[in-house]
Amino acid sequence: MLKIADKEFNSRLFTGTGKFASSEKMLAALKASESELVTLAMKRVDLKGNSDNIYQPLQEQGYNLLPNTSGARTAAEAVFAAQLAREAMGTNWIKLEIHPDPRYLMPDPIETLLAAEELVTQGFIVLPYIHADPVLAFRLQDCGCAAVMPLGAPIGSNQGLKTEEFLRIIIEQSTVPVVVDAGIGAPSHAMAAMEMGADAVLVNTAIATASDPVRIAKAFAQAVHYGRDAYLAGMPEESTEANASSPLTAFLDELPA
Amino acid sequence: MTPKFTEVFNNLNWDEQKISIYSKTEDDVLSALKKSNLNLEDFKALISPAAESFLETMAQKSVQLTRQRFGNTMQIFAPLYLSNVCSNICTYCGFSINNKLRRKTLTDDEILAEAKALKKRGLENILLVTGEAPKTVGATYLKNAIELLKPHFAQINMEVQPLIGKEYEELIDAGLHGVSLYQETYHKGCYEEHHLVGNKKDMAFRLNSPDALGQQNIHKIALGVLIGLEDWRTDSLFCANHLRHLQKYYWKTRYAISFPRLRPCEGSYQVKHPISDRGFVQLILAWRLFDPDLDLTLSTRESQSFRDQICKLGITSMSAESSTQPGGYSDESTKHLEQFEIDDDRTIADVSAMLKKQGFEVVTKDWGWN
Amino acid sequence: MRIFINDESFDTDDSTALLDALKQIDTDLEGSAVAVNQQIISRTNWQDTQLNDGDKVLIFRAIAGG
Repeated sequence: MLKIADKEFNSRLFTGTGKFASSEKMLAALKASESELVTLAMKRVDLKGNSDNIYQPLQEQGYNLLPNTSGARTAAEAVFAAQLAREAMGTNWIKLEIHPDPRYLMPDPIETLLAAEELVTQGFIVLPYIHADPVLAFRLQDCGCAAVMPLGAPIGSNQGLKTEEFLRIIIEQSTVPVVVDAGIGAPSHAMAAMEMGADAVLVNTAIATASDPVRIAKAFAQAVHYGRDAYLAGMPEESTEANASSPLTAFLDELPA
Repeated sequence: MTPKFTEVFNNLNWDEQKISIYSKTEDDVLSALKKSNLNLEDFKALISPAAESFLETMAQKSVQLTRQRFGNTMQIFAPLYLSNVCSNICTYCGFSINNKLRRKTLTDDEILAEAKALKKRGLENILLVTGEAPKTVGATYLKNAIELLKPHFAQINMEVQPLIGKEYEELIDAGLHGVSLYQETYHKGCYEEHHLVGNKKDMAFRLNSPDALGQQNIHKIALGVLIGLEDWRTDSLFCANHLRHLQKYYWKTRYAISFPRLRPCEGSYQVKHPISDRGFVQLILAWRLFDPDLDLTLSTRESQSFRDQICKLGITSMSAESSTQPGGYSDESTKHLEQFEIDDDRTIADVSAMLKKQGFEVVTKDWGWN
Repeated sequence: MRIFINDESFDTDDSTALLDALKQIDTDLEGSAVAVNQQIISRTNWQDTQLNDGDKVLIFRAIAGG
């Protein structure tokens, strides 16, 4: 059972709702993924058009909602977005994401830390999205975030765990759950993250833009499940051999008894 | 609030842990030797009897890991005994209140004289040591000593009685870099048996004091057991649990392990669980393999020839030209105040020469911004 | 009086409550949050909040996102 703040999850696969061809396809894929937590964004309503209301069906189907602050470029904007999300969706859980760089969508560490400190004070359950910076993860953990969400690779890139070595360090050192988010492009990436000891993964683009989202969602669900099993089984490590040179402990034989 | 070590400690059973260590097999040792991220079970294997025939392999790996992390450097420091007044009875220690020793606490002038003598010998890194006499040698005295010494030394560490968070905070503000706080033994019965009178009787307070240090963001914490009080393997395993607990919650602090081996002193104490030289080497190697980032410290309790051999096996800091009597550097006539017998009494210059010959770069000053 | 909802101007009666103004634009308000002049107005207060001439109302809604 994965525990984050006051919630428990059977599934360690979190999913995003963006980029799907339609909301029917999205709902079907989410169901196949067995995910229990989905992310949502906040946007100014298009008064003319009639965009699908996905909030209602997601709520009705019992998903835990994790609104994000996507669009915010500063701490102040993120805090405002979080307050709107809390008001709109009736949850104090928030995925804090601040990316002023519109090309690679890399998270701003300074604004993120500032926003996290403020949001924790305001009673939010904060899950910050960050680069895989172990010290930043510590700082966010210290200020009261409920988890940390380090990236594997740029959002939407499907490149996998480019930050693998740093994810390892964060997973080793963190005392809050670690959710690997962004860049996971294949079930094997998700499985690798789980084998490393990640507490959960968040996948969006890889499912939403696949030719068969339902099928790949199922594959992701299984990959996360088996990756977790492998981690719990205790995987053998790669071997490290020492280089023999001249003997170092022969002197012990020459010591008086 | 983060949990304190006693919460972990109270869930560890000495006998169970001891059996677990002694049941480790050669396969367990081989498995540990292959890994680069060792856990506590691996540490048990490396300190178990089963690892005794693997010392050479462990040594080779230890040298490689130490060099990779520390280069070819060795830190040198000297202890500065400020006082041997003590209100405890610890059956193994020369400073015990019931031992007839001439007691001395250094005055400001005497502290500065000691500092002068140590600076002449080329030292920048000192370890302040006292007995436990909180009324006369408490946080106020220590703060004053640190303030007197700060202008003269790049790094000031301390090995004194356990203090409370607020006291540590004051001393850190005054310039304290690190603290050594050895549990002596993690075995409850043994601890009670050896600490008969005084504040040191409070085992839980001592167990939780490193947490207080971590909470104050001290730069460095040194842990250790007094080898010989109880089964060294089990005591060291408990110490490893202690280390992991502190590392988990106090990420800004770096850690060190020391290897004080019981020596004869004034008083009638006989070593009940002596460690052999092989065992001593095995212990040092096991720690290095378990955690390549640890500072491993060797004191002058050990003989000259032994130190010369083991200094290259994974040790990263050594004391030299130690005097365990207050005032012993500036006045060498006072011979009756010692805490324990020194075996390696070479000068700093001689020890440095030995180290240089073995390919080490001797570091007397760690980095510092002032 | 004239108010703005998501930057579009609307003409309303002089003492219009926020809730009434929102009803006028016929948009799904499930999962929505509303701010008046950058201040978030909680749903329970929509009925009691009076709008003034020139007020800028912003409606935000939960949408698909990663």
